[in-house]
Amino acid sequence: MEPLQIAVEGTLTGLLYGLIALAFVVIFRASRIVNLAQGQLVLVGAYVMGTLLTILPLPVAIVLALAASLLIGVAIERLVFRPLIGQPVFSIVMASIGLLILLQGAVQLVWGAQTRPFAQIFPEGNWKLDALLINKRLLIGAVITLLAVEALRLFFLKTRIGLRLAAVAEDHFVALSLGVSVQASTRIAWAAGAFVSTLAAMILLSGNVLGLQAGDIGLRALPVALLGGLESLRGAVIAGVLVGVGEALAAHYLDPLTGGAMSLVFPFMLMILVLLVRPQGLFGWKVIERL
Amino acid sequence: MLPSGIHFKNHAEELRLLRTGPQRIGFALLLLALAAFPFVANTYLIGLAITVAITVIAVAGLQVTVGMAGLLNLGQSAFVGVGAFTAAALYAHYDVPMLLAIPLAGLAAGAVSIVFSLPAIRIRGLYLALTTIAAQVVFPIVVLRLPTGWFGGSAGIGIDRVQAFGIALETPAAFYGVAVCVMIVMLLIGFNLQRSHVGLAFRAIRDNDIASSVLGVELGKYKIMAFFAGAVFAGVAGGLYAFYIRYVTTDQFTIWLSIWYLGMLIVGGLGGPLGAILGTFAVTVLQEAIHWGGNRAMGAMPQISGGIIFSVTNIVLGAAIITMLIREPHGLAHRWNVLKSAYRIWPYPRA
Amino acid sequence: MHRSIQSKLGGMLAAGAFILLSATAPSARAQTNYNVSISLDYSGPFAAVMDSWYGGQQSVFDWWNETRGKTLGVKLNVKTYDMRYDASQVARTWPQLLADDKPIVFLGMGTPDLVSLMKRLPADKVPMIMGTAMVAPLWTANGWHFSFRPTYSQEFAGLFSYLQSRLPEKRALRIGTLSTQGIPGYVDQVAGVVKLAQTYPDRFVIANSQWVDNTPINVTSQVRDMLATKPDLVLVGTNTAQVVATVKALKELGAKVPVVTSSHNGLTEVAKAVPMADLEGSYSVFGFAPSVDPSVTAAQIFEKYNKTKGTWGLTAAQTSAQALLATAAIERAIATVGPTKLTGQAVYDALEGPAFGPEHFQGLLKSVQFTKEAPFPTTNLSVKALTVKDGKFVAVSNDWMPVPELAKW
Repeated sequence: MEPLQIAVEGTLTGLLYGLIALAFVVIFRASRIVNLAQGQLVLVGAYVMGTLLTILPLPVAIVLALAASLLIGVAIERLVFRPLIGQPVFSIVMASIGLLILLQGAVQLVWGAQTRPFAQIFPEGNWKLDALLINKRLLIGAVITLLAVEALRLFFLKTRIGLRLAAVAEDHFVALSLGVSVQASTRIAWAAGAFVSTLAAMILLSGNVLGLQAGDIGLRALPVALLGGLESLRGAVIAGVLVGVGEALAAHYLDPLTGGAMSLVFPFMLMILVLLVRPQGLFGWKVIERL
Repeated sequence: MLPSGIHFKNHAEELRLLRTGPQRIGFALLLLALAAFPFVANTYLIGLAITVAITVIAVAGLQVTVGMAGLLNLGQSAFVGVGAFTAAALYAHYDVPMLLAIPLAGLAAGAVSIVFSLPAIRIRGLYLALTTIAAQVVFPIVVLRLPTGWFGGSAGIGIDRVQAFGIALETPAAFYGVAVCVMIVMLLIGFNLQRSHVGLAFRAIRDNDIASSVLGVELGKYKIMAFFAGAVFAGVAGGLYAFYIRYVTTDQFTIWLSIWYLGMLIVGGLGGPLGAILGTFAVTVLQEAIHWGGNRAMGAMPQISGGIIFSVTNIVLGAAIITMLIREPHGLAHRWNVLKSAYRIWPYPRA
Repeated sequence: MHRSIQSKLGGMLAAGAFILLSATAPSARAQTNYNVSISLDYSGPFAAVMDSWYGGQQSVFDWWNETRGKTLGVKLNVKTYDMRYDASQVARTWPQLLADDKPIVFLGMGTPDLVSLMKRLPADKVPMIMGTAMVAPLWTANGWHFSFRPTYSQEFAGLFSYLQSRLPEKRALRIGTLSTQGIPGYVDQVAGVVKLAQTYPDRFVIANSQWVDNTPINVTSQVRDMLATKPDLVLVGTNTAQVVATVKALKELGAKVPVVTSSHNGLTEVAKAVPMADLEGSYSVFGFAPSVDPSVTAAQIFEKYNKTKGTWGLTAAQTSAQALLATAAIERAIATVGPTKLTGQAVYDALEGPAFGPEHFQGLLKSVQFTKEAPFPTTNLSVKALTVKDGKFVAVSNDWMPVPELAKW
């Protein structure tokens, strides 16, 4: 029973990692932009929603915050990444690092460093299933994650716009030569990425304390995205579950032996091992390069 | 672009770092200025210069890994930390003199980097950045878990006296001398690395690693070497840092610092060690200006609270990075070279 | 003729005015000015609380100058420095600070000050008084740095001792710890409590130690593991996020185990996110009196003299205590060497002297006794704590809770 309980909890936490990794993958899948500032997107979404929740009723605040996140995503695309279309991946990664620093500073400038409460959106506590305890908030979050993955998958694989985005994920110039608007794709990518990030922020912080360290989760989610493969939507979520469960099992069985070190180190060890076997991530595209 | 009249008789001459007469004079003047600096500046500026020198070394190391070889390294601060702890431990436990402890610290950081760069044989591109993040995360945990007698556990390590050859070096001016000398040595290594065959291999890997492996460049070996070199620089910087601050703890080396190093390098330009110098210098000047201006503003307008300065520093650096990437992707170093060649062949337009 | 009479009159008037002025001038005892330098953080991570932080210090120094300083003939000039919570900034600024100010005492803010200055102070002969709790790594002998607060672990030990003595049966108190690996201060807190259990095995035992992320998403499984070992309380001395997660986990699991926090992540902070009912029975412990304690007269000093935008609370109370310790030491130094011969050495000797009694601290501290073996008091320590009863914050006990003796770990 016990390993099952741990596995359940690890899965639920892992699905939250997966949601943030999903935002990362969405941005990459639609625009070939590596967004190292993922944690900061969650941070911005969290603060916007947190503030709106204090002045507006719950449903209005959520809808407004999600709408605002779309605008923020578009703004980032317009100001930062549109001028960089066609640049090597390296430059774009660097730009996202600049964005990371910028967003962290901007959030502190606008909202200050004090911690503040974040309203409770989801119910607290557990549901009981036989002897299993399932955290309500995380379960709802997990459902949201799975719905988001499937919805995004539908978009990318079944709609015309979505399919065209696959070209952009491959190469900007190829896409341009095929008549696909890279600008529009990048806009969609960032709007969707910001949207998903705000969803994640909602689940992560419901009923919690909101502070500037909310962006730290990006650091846990980036390796998850890399593990799953940068282009794979389902991969991000599956990788999240793997990491979450692995972390939970390591915490329970290995931490007492190592004084708590294993659960922090284990996710990285797992990822490096997997990448050594499959260098493109678990489900990433295997790219055939031509010289 | 060189002024007319400069020509070389053989390849070795062409590769020289200082190729023209005025360049050599300029370099000599620079050295003179550096030597004279502590006599004219106040102790705060000397301290600032020391910090800049230490950071330049770390960022120059980053330039080798990221700029020369094209391998993203998000854990440079962890390697600086390894160097700092090694130097402090060598001095505190084994009485190793400072001038020996610092190079050993560099080698230790390099050795640690090999552990994290071994996956480079199989893993490419952004996925490799993962291992460097792992280094940054694992570093404090490992140091804290090691026996207290090694690296002080949660205590950190302190350094009592700073001296070389029996001369006390605890005044800012004295330590400045040490720091600048070490910086010049490391920068010379960096510049020489760039024009050596190892540097050529790095450049090949950066441009297209598959093509270079087809041409006979052993990818695994050179990638690990690139990380090693970058980490050695970081370790040396860490060793200097340990002797300057005189107490090291793990929370002085965070991922945020790694990101700032990267930011400085981007602003300065990834092309060569000059980028590291210019980037560190520019960002430090910017930072100090913001602090100075912010403190003045806070004095004049009490409505502004203090957290503003910290966040404005971040915003300005982030904006600077993004602006540089959009307008001048090759950084300040490129701008410098453009200005230099324009000056040299004036009044002719630059081709 | 006219002119000379005029000038004579003028001269007499001037003389008269002079005599009048000197008669009504402040007492003939000359005021010697001394500098007290303070490290602040206006542009780093702690900038948000700087107003209250500095307010506590500034109000104490203004009050002292006006009341005691005047009679003793000493005026303390306060010089502040923005150290940005950065050790390199402290290292850069220190030489100039030393040369310009020649301070008789330096009020430090946090770890960066300690780290940069610990090794330099004995040579520079300026004592430093800290305002935050210590950690064992800084437990060095013969230092010139002082803190009126002992280590976090010792503060917890005071509360644990009190609670253990009140257990219904005569047994050891079972302590569960929740902390984060990789962060030296957090790791050290647990190490100290482990040492406490080793020193007094019949009174305290570590039931379980759990390690979580710095900002954890969910700690239910770790708390569940801990509950299996039947702890009497859970120690979470790290940050607010972990306390919130722990309280939620305990509620989910239906366990009524109190949580013990420190001052910086205390119940008042946690109450922002968690309903008071969930905090019933939990504790916050600190090495000085809670700011809401009515016996703390320092609050009135703050109300009267504060010029900043800060408010009275935990932060201001802590820094007021810090400043009061400085003034107490300075007063003793004046008594020893006289008002015109104050130096850093004199203040240091004063600090290393006999205990400072409660009369110096306006209700914030009971007594402070330094020895050369540690930068903080190691004997006669006592703490106070807050708890939540019936949805309200109350003091655990009106008296100070003594801390059991603990050797260095």
